[in-house]
Amino acid sequence: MDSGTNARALENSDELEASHFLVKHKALPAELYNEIIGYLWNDSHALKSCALASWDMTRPSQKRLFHSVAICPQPEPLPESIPTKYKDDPRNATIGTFSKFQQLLDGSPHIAQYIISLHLSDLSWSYRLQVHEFEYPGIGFRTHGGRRWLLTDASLQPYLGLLRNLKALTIECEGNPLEGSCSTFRAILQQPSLLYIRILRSSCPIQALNRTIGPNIEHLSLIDWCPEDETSPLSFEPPSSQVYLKTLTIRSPTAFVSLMTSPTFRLQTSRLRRLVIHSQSYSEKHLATWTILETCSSTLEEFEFRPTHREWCFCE
Amino acid sequence: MLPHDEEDDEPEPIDLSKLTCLKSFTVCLFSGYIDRTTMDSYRWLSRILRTGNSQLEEVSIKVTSEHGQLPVDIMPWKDVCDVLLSKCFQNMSRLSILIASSEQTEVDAVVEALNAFEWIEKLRLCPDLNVVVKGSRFCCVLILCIHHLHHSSY
Repeated sequence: MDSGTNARALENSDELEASHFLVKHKALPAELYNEIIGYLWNDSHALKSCALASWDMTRPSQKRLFHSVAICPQPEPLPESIPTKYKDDPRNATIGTFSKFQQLLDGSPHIAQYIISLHLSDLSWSYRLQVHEFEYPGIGFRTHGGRRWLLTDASLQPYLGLLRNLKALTIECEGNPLEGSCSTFRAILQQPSLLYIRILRSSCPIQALNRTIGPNIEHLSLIDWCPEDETSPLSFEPPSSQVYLKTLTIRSPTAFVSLMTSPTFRLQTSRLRRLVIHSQSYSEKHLATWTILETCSSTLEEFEFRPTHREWCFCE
Repeated sequence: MLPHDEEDDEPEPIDLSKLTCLKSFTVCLFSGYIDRTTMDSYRWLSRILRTGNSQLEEVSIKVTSEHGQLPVDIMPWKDVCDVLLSKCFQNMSRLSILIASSEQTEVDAVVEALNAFEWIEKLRLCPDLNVVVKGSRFCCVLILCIHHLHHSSY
């Protein structure tokens, strides 16, 4: 036997030994796999590799990969004026569209139970890029539109129904996501597991949210909302139980306070631990802020006050 | 103009002293130019801070010019620091000041001036109080989000 054959035989025996070791020690405790995968929580490439490497690692890897899911619109192609080197930038890749989400859950429905946080975005400016990134001084911001899907695609509702462990939901869209009696989101907003709701850039009336959300909601963030059209009929029985919030983020405390006196207003602030008020500045409106603060004066631990530039102009 | 303490007839409605469990207070201030006139909200903040809260452990102040030029003027901080040095904030263990602007040079200038400011030095001499003054150039948050989303795409 020549030296080359010997070396190959040794390599084969090493491989054989390694495979025997793997077979022998296959049944590592699940907690150990979980612990190992836990270190890779923010490394999606490694998690994907682990999910494919071994059946034992598939479940813990998928749990972390799909813990937080975002569904965004299909982006439009970047304009020609942007240098080519940026067009291939992975940041602008087509990611997390609803069709991909459908394919994912159709092929692997068990993944739905791993989704804890869901971000639904339908904004035309999701791909806004800062000018400095492209070294174009003085132009301002570039915006890129996307195909709207969130309020038009009726097939979303059954998929939302699969997310039985969902705890956090962010809806980012123009328009009212709760419009109509058969709103796509009504069922998910009353789901017992859901604790956190964040609605951004939407014209969602707070009254509609008030009568739709389940009593288990603890964290509510409403950066933008609009007054409700009171003529719109209510075709379902709203829940009557109070919603005791632990954290609240709002833009207009004056409007919020005006609703607090209503007997049907369920959003209670008496147990708030964290309050974030956006965009208030001059003392007149501090009265409304104080009205909310007073209700939670014995529980509030964090208070964040964020006025904006435009409001300062009003002070002139 | 922004309300001045001496000129205000009405007291500040927000009374921090009545928030008995408050541990953290974060506020965003504006400092910039409107119609070529320097405008800021330090006085507005001082009014709120004067209501005091001895349980407060952490105060965070973020200053931004939004998208305009950031004035390199630290004198308005004197009044804010003066209030924070009072007994009303005796339990404060951390003061964070973040200066944010789109221009790095402006940020650096303000941070440097603040770090050398005698009133900030006075706060730093307080026992058990950690004072942090930092600068931050506006970054494109949306890009970072998209970058993050890409990494967790399915």
